[in-house]
Amino acid sequence: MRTQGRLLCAASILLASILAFSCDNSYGVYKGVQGEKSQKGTTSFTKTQVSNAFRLGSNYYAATMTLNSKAVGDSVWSTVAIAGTTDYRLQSAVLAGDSSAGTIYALVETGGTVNVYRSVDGATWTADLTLPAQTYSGTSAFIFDALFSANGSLYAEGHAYDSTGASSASTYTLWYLNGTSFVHVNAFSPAADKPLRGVVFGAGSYYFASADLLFNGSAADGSDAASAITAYTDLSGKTISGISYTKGISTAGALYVATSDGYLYQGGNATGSSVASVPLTVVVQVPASATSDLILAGTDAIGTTPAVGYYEGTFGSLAIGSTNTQVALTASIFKSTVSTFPIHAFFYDPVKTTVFVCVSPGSSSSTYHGLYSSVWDPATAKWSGWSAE
Amino acid sequence: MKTPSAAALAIAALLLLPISGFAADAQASAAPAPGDLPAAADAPASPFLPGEQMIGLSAGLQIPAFLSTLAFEEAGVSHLNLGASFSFSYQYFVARGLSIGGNFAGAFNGTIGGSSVFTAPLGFTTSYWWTKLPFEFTVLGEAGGYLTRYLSNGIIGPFLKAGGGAYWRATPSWSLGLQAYLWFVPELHYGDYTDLDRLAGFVETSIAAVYHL
Repeated sequence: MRTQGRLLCAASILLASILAFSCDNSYGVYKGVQGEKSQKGTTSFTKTQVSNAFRLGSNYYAATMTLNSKAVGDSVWSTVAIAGTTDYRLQSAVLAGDSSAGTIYALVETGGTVNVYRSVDGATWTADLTLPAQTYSGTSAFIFDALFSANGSLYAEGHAYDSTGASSASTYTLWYLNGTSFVHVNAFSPAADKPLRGVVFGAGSYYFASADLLFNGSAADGSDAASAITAYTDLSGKTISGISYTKGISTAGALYVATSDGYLYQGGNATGSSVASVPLTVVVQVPASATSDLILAGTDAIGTTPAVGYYEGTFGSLAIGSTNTQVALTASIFKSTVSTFPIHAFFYDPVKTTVFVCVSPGSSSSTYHGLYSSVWDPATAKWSGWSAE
Repeated sequence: MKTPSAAALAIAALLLLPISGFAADAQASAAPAPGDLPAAADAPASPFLPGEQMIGLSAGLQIPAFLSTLAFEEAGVSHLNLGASFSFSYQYFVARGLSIGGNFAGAFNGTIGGSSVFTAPLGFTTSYWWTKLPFEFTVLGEAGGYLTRYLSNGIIGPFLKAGGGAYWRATPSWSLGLQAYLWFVPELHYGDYTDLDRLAGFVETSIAAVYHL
């Protein structure tokens, strides 16, 4: 009887604990259900990573393993044929220039050959750019695996590595498209195993970032680039995990440098703002009212710790997207869409006042998608909330 | 929004049709005429006497019926998809045809956003049973509490359930049948969060197996 009594007591305590920890008086379960949106996106992005999105002319483009497009205002995405075929593997795609007169560059593998294709309309593609030789010799290889763009200029990430997996043999280099050929940006030399984070432009300066370096200069080819890391006193020694230069809307845009320990640095601020316990990635600036903007700061994962979607707010006052819910509209929409996904890119279209978020949705649910959008309504000063594209 | 509610209530009404004969049959069962014979010679003669016990298992559909504020401003029931439920129950007869017992259940409903709502009620039940061999009928009321989980959040609250079932006495020990219950799941908050109060309703329609101990 005594044993039974103890068991009953232990079970009661366990049950009471479960109930106590299960109950959150401040959260409305059925209000959350009422606030959900149907997430029936195109199959093109179902359980599929989207690495980038942009607009050129009257079409939106989104990069997966292929380049996909849809007409602005339409809901149907289709695969873009490059060089007359949709049977290719897209490694990277960017828009250089603005949405009205830019050029799409796509790093594409077809039949074992990697080329950079370009198009000014998304329909006609040419491969007239000379990419330095990519080699596979023994265990050593040198390839190009990503493209970046800034202020209309194009850059490529060169990656030399040892196929045995030795990190010390893995080096990344930055290449600038000069005319029709790529030239090495010699001034910018990350240490071994330090991948590039991107190139951005703002206020007359180009910023070049890798995991360990932050350079800037006024020349697009990086010829006058020098370390800018001294402007950020406590950035030294940290791992840079993302760089963005936002476009201003109601308020001015700014440079944002993110680190793997969840800090965000804005402009020339010497000290960063601790935001997250996971790495931050990219930042976008979107409307918050007729006279103010807010920023979204994406996250990545550390080891087995999943990403947590994005943080929303103003610099120095950012909160997770289920707490600050202006763009997601409701906490339940945030939680049922991007809340556990790494964020690769944001794209804000000021003409259609639409922000896109490009994520890795994983494969655990067919309701997870790689691309979501939310639309700002200036008349009501409200966002529509994320909907799967 | 109204379609799931209407469908749920229609199914519930259909399954509860046998209860319409409750009053007449109850009177007949309560006062059998001298010399009456069982309806079937091999049918179990259990008239649900005091001291008898039953356990029941069920599995079925969980149909969202309504979702509203406490002021009955309905919205969002269409955000809940058709779900599934299961239950385990025990009943003990304290008087002829009248039982008390307990019921544990669980139910899942997906949402339009790809999430799910899981509700697990635990309650005390009171039932009235009568028979028209080889069929058995019951009406049941339940009161207790529930735990709901949704997007890593949880809430507990009071729970009410009412409905009934019709069963075929397949063997002396087993009865198989259909049940329909209306679940009342009020979500109540206190302090500054009473604006989160909601009233949710579901219709459980399930297949049940009852074992007569």
